[in-house]
Amino acid sequence: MEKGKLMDLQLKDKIALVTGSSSGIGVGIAHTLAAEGAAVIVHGRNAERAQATADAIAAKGGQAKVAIGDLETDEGADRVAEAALAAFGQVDILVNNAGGRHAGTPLGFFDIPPRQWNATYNSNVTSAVRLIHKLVPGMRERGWGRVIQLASAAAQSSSGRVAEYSATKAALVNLTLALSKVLGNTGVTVNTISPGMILTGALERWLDAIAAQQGYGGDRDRATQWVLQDSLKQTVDRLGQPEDVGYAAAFLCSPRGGFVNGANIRVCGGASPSIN
Amino acid sequence: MVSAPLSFDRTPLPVRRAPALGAHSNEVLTELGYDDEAVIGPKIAGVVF
Repeated sequence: MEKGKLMDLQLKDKIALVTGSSSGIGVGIAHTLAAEGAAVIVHGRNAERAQATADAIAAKGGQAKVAIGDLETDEGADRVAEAALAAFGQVDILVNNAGGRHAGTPLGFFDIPPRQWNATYNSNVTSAVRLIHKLVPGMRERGWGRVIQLASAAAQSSSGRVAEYSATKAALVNLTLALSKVLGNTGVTVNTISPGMILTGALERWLDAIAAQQGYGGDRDRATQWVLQDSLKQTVDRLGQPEDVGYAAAFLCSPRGGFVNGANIRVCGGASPSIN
Repeated sequence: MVSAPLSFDRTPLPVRRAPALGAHSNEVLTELGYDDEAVIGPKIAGVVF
């Protein structure tokens, strides 16, 4: 590269679908890709919230449309794929970020009923597979594409709690490698990002609850320090920002990241105790 | 006489450990709203020891 020339991520003509981008980490990914020039399709289950993210991107000069639907059913995922394809004509980049765990599911291994293993697997793995089936064949035909799975620092370790959730995240890391092999030499790369503690709205509300519980008088910073110092074992002394995940995603989506394939990129402030 | 335990860099070893976060975070998780618990709950419970 020429000295003094910035690394252009070359995302200007690319079209990206980011699932679960009406809140949290997905918002950071959507904003970062849009800031790099990609046209972004914001996905969520709630039309109003998804539109708010799209409007925020447009307000910063980016291009964004929405695709609404529930990825936990075949029909819902079909609707999302159709809306995404209709938005800008095709999808070059699929970021499988949506997922989680149904509220109210117990944390302990022997408290989690077997049916909940299926439900969490459906949320985190099968949802991603549904969109891969719908959107990746087009990428392969055109000879260029990017697929990114959002796993979790929990994929590389285990606290012993939410075991079924961690297992689905580990499954995503493995699914990524499988798909990268299947798509070998097609121009479509497949990678995983495993985020650690990222300061989303939901995490802020949790920190506020911790601050109240610990008698910190609502001091979120003090709650953050408590979490950082006493439990997270990070090697970077701050919580992550949604954009931290967005930067990693932008690189993997870029033609500049084209030699990275089948990888798991940890964006966890060094919290993972293991190698990949 | 027994000397105070020292680590290799001569920094005294910590006298007390902070309480484990796990138990507290479990309690707080269930107080979060439905959406928050679904999205952030497993991350916290899976990553925080």
